[in-house]
Order: sequence, then C-alpha cells, then structure tokens
Amino acid sequence: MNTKLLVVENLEVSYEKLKALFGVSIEINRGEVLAIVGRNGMGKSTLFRAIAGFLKEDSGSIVFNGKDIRGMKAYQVARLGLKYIPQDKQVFSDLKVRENLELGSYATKDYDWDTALKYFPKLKDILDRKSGSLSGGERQMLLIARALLGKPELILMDEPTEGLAPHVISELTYAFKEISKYITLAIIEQNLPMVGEIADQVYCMKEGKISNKITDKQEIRDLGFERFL
Amino acid sequence: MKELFKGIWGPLLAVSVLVAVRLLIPAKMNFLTEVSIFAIYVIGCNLLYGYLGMVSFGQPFYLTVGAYSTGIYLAYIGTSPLISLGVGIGAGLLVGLILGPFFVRLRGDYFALVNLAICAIGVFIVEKLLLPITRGDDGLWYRARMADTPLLDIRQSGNFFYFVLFSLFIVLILFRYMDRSTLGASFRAVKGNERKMRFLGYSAFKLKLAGFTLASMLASFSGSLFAINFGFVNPNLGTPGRAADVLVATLMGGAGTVYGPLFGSFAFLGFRDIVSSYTISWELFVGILTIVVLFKFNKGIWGNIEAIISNKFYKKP
Amino acid sequence: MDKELLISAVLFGFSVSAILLLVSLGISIGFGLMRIINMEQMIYYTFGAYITFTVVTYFGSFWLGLACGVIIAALLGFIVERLLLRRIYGQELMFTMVVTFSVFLIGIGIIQYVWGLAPKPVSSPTDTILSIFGVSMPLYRVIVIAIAALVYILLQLLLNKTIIGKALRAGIGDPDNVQGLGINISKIITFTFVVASGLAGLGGALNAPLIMTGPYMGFDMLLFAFVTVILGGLGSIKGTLVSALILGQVISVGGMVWAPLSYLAPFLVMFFVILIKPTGLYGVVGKAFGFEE
Repeated sequence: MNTKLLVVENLEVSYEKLKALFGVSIEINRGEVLAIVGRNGMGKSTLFRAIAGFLKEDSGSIVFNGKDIRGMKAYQVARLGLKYIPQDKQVFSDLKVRENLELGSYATKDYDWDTALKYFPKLKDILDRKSGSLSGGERQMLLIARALLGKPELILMDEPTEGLAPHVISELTYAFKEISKYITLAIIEQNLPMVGEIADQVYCMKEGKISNKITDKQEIRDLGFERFL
Repeated sequence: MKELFKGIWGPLLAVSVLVAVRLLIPAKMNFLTEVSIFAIYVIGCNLLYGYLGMVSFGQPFYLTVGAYSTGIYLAYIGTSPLISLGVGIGAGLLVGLILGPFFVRLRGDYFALVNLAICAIGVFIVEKLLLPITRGDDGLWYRARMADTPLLDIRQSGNFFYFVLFSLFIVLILFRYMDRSTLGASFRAVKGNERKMRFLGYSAFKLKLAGFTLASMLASFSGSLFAINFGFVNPNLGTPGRAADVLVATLMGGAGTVYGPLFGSFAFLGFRDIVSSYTISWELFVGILTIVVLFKFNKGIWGNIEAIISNKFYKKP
Repeated sequence: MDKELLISAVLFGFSVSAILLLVSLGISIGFGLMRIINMEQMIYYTFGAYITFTVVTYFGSFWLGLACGVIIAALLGFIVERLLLRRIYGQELMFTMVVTFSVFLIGIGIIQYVWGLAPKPVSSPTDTILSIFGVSMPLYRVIVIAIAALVYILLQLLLNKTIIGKALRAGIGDPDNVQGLGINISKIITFTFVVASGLAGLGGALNAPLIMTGPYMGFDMLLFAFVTVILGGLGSIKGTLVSALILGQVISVGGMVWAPLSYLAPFLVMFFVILIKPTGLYGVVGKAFGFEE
C-alpha cells in the first residue's frame, strides 16, 4: 500500500505545437484532499486530462498506485481506480439519471448504488428523469455519484463548484469532506474559501508550471496561498 | 495591370515546357492535349477545394454541362467551334449562378453530397431524359459539322494543341493573379476560418459563390474543349464515379497551389495510361491511388517542391 | 387516377421504403456516433447482393444466401472499421468522406474482378402473389416490408433497452465521458459499424431479386441512401424512418405519374427540404471525439 497514490514527474504536454505543461511534478498522498489553484488558462485542466489518459504526453512519468499509467487509454485508467470529472458538467443528457448510473456500474460491476448515492439522496428521487433536464447542482452530484461507482481510489475533479449556488456549494463541500474519508480527492478550484476548508495540500499553477506548494495546514486555512496567484 | 504582366513568366515557362515536350516527343501530342485540357478542369477543382476548402463530389456535372452545351450547339445549331466554346463557358457560368446560391450555403458534407446528387441527375438527364437530343448512351457526334476557325484551324489536332495551350496560358495567368490578390487571400481565409471572416465583415457567402461559379466555369470550359477534341460526347464524361478523378489529381499535384494542377493532371493521366493496360477496373485504380495520395503524399508533387524550395531559400527565425 | 393503381403504388412504395431504411440506418448511426460520413456503406450492400447470388447459384437456397450475405457484409464492415476507419476518426469530415469514397471505389473494383461486369440475376424465393385491398402484390415484397419493420423494432429495442445501446447513445453526444466510466468506447464503435454494415448487406440481399445486380448498383443506392439520410437528418434514427417512408412513396407514386420522377423526385424533395431546413427534418448536431461542429 503506497502512501504516495499518484506521482507525476516532469510532465510535458502540448496541444499540436502549443506547449501547455512545462515539466510539472506533483504528488498526491493517499487519503488526502489535494487542491490545484491558479488562474484560467494556466494548465490545470490539461494536467488532469493528461493524467486521466485523455491527452498524449510529450514526456515525463505518471505513476498511479505504483503502476506506470503514462500512455494508457482513458478507459484503462478509469478501470484502475482513477476517475476524472471534467469541468463542463456534461451528463448523458439523452439518458435518464438511472441510465447514467447504469453506465457507471457497467464497466466497474459495482451496483452498490446506496453507497454511491449516500451523500446525494436527492438523486434517488429523480432516477427516472432525463438527465438533460437537471440543474447544474444536480448534474454535478450525478457526475460524482457516477464516478463513485467502482469504488475508485482517486477522483480528479475539475472546478466542481463552478457556477453553482452557495447552498449547493455547501452541500457539495460537506459531501467532499465525507467522501475524502475513504477516497483520495484532487480538486481544481477557483473557489478559494472552499479550498481553505477542505484541502490538505495546495499546488499553485502558473503558466503551465507549478509555482508553489503549500502543505502547512494553517496557511491553507488562512488562504495564504492566495498571494501566489 | 503591372501585376498581371509580372505574372507572365511562370505560366510562360510552364507552357513552354509543354511545347518543348511536344516537339521532342511528337507521338505524345494527343496525350499532352488531354493533359492540358484536364489541367484546366483540375484548376477549377483546385480553386474550390485547395483555396476555399469545399469538397465537391460533383465536378463531372459541370464538365458535362460544358461538353454537352458545346456538343449540342455543334450538332444542331451552328458550326463554329469558337462560338460553341463560348456557349459551353456561358452554360457553366449560368449553371454556377443558378445552383450556387443554394449549394454554397450548405454545410461542407451536405455540399459534397448534394453535388454528387446533381452529378447523378446530370447523367440521368443526358442519358435518358433528353434522349432524343443527346442520343443517350450512343453519344452525340458532330465532328463532321465543325467549321474552319479564323487564324488557326483548330479542327486539326496539331493546331488545336496550341489553342489549348494558349487557353491554359490565359487561365494560368488569371489564376496566378487571383492567387496573389486580395480575392485569393480572402478565399484562403474562408477556408481557414469562415466564422472569423464573417466577423471581419466579409461575406463568406459571396466569396464561396464566386469561387463556386469560377470553378463551374472552368470545369465547363474544360468540358467544351474535350467536346471539340474528341468530336463527340457521351454520358460517361459525367458519371459520379469520375468525381474522384479530379479530386485525386488536385491532391496529387498539390492542392492550394498555382501550378499543382498541371503536375496533378500530368501525373494522373500518366498513371492512368500506364495502369489501364493492366487493370480492367478503373474504380479500383482511382480508389487505391486516392488513398495512397491522401495518406502518404498529402502535399502533392508541386506542394512538396514548393516546400523544399521555401525551406532552402527562406531561413526560419 | 385509377384507385387500384394508386393502392398498388403505395404498397409498392412501402417495399422501396423498406430497402431504403435498411441501407440508410447504418449511415445515420455512423454519422451520429463518429461524425464520419460512410461513403463506402454501399459496398456492404453490393456484397450482400452478390454473395446471395453466389450462394443461390451453388446451393439453391435464397434464405441461406441472404444469411451469408449479411454475415459477409458485417465481416467486411468489421475489417474496414478496424483497419481503416479507426485511423481517421477525429480527422476533418471532408478527409474522411474522400477516404471512404475511395474505399467504395476499391470495393467496386474488387467486385468487378471477382464477378465480372455482367449483371447477375437473383430470382425471388417465392413467386406467390397476394391480394391486398383488392390489388395484387407479390408475397416477396410483403416479406421485405415485414423484415425491415422487424429490424427497426429490434434496433430501437437495442438502443433503448440494452446497456450497449445506452452506451452507444451516450457515446453519440459525449464519447470522452463514456471512456471516463471505464467503458472501452472503441469496442462499441466497432460493434456499431458491424451492425450498420450488416444492415446494408441485408438491404442488398433483399433487394437482389427486385433489381438488377451489377457492379454499379451501389452507386444509385448510395445516392438514394444519402438523400434519405439528408432528408431525415444525419444522426436521427427516427428521421431516417420517416424520410424512408416519404421517399418510398415519392419514388413509387411519383414514378407512376411520370416515369423519370422515380429517379428525379427523391432529389427534388431533398433539395426542397434542405432549402427550408438545412439540417434535414430531424437533424442532430452533436460532438464526437472532442471536435466541434
């Protein structure tokens, strides 16, 4: 059982000829909540997408749970227990909520919906609604519940609270706190107060590189990393 | 105007090379005539695809329009080949202006397919619908009716060769002028990013319509030349199966370049002549050739030459 | 207008619709899922017909021939998808169109080599004539309609009730997230193409007794199939059904009014609809493999 769940070393990623990541290295410890902060366009989403297998890396290494996952296809990475929830809050709108979850169960063979929906009881009431008609908050909850199926070890979330109402954000924050007790979370966020509340480690990204790393819990609570952005 | 004259040298060189080859290898003159006529056709397709980014699976239709207009004129109405050429070009212009406004506003894939459809309709019309006039599959023959032309009797293949070369020369000069003009740049910009062009105030529609009409005129002109060259026309000219011919020739020569079509026409027809003695299936040949060119040889002959020249002479920053 | 003639034409039209539906469904789904316009779809159609011919010639059984035709067509679809199509996903739409068109040409070339240029007649498995609504209708055409209807129902069941169908529908709008759930979407895509080519092969086999089988039979059907799909809207299954029904009638009844209409009318209808609604009756605009419309 490694304490270092995910180790990324010197990752370089480009889109066509445009370089986006210049030698990024991060470490995620098992059981912690890691936050990645930074302004728009700094490369945060690129980092997550490369880790999850959606982008081809130019060079560098990605080791998950002791296993080299660089170059693996996205579905293989997901099956290993690393789930990725992208920024756009897109659900399978043509399908019902229930069917979204069915697809989540399909590859992972995990049909324990009670556990997945434990922090999102509202979803149980709307199982037969077409997911295209859900609100932003409900979609995010569905995405997280779907990702929980298969009992992953690490979930990467890209700006989960973006565009959501404050009370929904509180619900999600509570859910994250509970989930993080048994799953490692890595979250990209612009919502700094929330980061201060739940993160154990914070990386700041600037222009495709890691500019700062804060591990002091007090500094995080005090939002000390804000000055680095 | 000065720009127009500056641009003479390239086309002059190209045409001179063709003349030289003809004089050195007299036996191949008919081949060279065909290459030159086909080149005009390819130039039209090149304008549409290489400059505007529009794929059409129906260029044979416009070729047929020109060919049959010329053929019908010579068979029934008049005897002057020069006038019949005018008729052919005019028909191409007309068809381009009529169909253009509808076709050009379609999304790329629909545009390609709708052109394929019109191509099939065209074949149906000349093969069956207008059978009494066009004589359908038997073809329309009129060589005997063609009269003498002033200056140069183009009924004789030797003279016709020079006439075609002259036409090619004019087309090349005009094309080169367009290539270096704002119009050419606008065409390319539409290919690159149509939406942005609209934001900049350009009417992408008008540009595409212009390009489409020019391409149909060039294809029709080429068709008319074919009609005079062979002295008869038949529906095979315009079948959808031939749609890939002109596309692959465009690609082989180098899409988006001025002289690409010449190389493409030469290479394609050259290949065809070599290969046709070995294979009974035209389609097999064109299909394989297209795939090979698409995957391995994307820039085409002239495109690659241009790239090598620019690499050698222009240092990168 | 003679009422009997009209009823006869309408019934006949349904059998035309049946074939159109079968050959067009594959193109529609293929586009909806992978944003590829499968110009070579008619190769499976043509092979379906020719294999049926060969099996009938050697073994005498039409239905065996049909089965073989469908299987071989599906197999070809599998090969083409694995070897070629997956290399060109995500490329520009125009590029894929030209590539698949070339594959179509190559396929025609192969057919010419193997079977030659002469048309190969396939006789209908049954010559029984039924009387429906007072007009005579060959039993075979009724069977064709029944098969197409059954296939459509099965397809809808597949898409709506099975998990693979749901994954397919999810993949049509959002292939990345399907991957993110651990589902290997390329297997689903391959499956889709195999089904699509099998359907086209079925269409070819069923149509063999009804029309002249020749190396170029795919060309005309290609055009009609595209008219069907463009009219219905690329990517919409329901659209394909509706437009197949419409066009079947247009071809049949139109042809009764004036013979050339049976060829021209579908195009006219298509042109007309595109003018009004450029994406077709039920057009779908979606994302596939991350590239924008």
